[in-house]
Amino acid sequence: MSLISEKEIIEKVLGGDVNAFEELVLRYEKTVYNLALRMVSDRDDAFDMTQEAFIKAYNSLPSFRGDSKFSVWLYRITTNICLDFLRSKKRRPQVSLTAHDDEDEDVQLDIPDPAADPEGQLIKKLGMQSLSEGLKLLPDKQRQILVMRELGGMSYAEIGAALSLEEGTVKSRIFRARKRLSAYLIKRGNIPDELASK
Amino acid sequence: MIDCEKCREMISCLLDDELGDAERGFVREHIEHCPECQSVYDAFCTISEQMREPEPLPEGLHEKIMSGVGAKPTKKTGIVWIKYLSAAACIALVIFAGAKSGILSSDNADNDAAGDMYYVTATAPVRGDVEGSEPENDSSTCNETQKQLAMSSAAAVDEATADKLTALLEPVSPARGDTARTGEADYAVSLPDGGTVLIYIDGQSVYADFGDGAFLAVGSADDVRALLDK
Repeated sequence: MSLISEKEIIEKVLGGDVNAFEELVLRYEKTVYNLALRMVSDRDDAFDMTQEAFIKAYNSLPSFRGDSKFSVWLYRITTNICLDFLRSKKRRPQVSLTAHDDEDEDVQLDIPDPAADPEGQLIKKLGMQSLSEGLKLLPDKQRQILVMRELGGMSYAEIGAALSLEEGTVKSRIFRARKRLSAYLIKRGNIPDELASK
Repeated sequence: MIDCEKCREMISCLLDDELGDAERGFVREHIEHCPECQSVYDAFCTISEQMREPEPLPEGLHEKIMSGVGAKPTKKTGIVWIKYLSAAACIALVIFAGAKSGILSSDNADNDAAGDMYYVTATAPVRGDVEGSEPENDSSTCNETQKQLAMSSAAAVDEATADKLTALLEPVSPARGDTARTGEADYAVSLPDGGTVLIYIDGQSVYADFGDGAFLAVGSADDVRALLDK
């Protein structure tokens, strides 16, 4: 992979070099997709959100001031798009989760893991399903911040700056999100239940 | 010795590498002697591991992204911005480039002569039904009002700010389903040729309608507000 800096890439894109943008896509598409997936809990929707996030980032690039890292800016765009999508979805009738799960199952099989035994894979898969369900139960703002932290690797200061929040607010939301998620996963048996009585 | 509730919040910070050396020491010492907080630590670690478990990129996504990336965004000039607020609100912002647009005449003639200068104007409330099915009557009336209002009390902003605004209006995709905009716009944008662009804010999304249907614009609501509401 080229060692060209992001600043140089951005300057190239702004100068009309559309292909330079692909370098940024290659660097961040996997993280953006996983961010979106944890946000919307559906692979098809995450696919769309990822595409939308990159197109929006591309078209908004002239307004990127470089005050933050490009990744921080991109992750903010991604999670905001996901939040808007989720709000829009809440206003519509819900579709069957079973149908989604069936579709997801097919996609999941595309991930080979030769080191894992079938039982281990099943446990892992169930664990991921529970995580996905648990994330859906979090308030949108808690989920957004937790995802930015865990998948985006953003510091509290970066999240606070991106979302115009105090660092203390970021800290407490992440903590509350983890507590809530822990409680759910313990209830589902995906985390040892030492905490269940707390 | 710190109490358990405080320790658990600090465990969260510990995992995020947001503690100083001394605090890290406190937490680690507490965990060592408190099985319950050790369990919290383990649970939070498990969540982090699961969340960070990467899923592979779906086939075709990269190509789909690149196929959606078009030509370099072009910067528009000569735009008049007017902000609608609902009945109680009484401020509208207008940004326009006057000299070359030909829309604005007498009152701003002096300012317009400065060239590509943009202006922000505070006005009386502007309210109108901007329902797409009846654009002629209401929009045209509104445009006239907007143009008149734009001619008063202009205050200059720099060109860079106006350029950012135009960049924020670049289209991303057609508005989906119930996000299609037909109600009262948050902002109206009158173009030099007399056309109008309506801007709608929904959460963090910005939608724009040039008269042939709303589309999702690239800018976020925060970005638009940060530029227009200052």
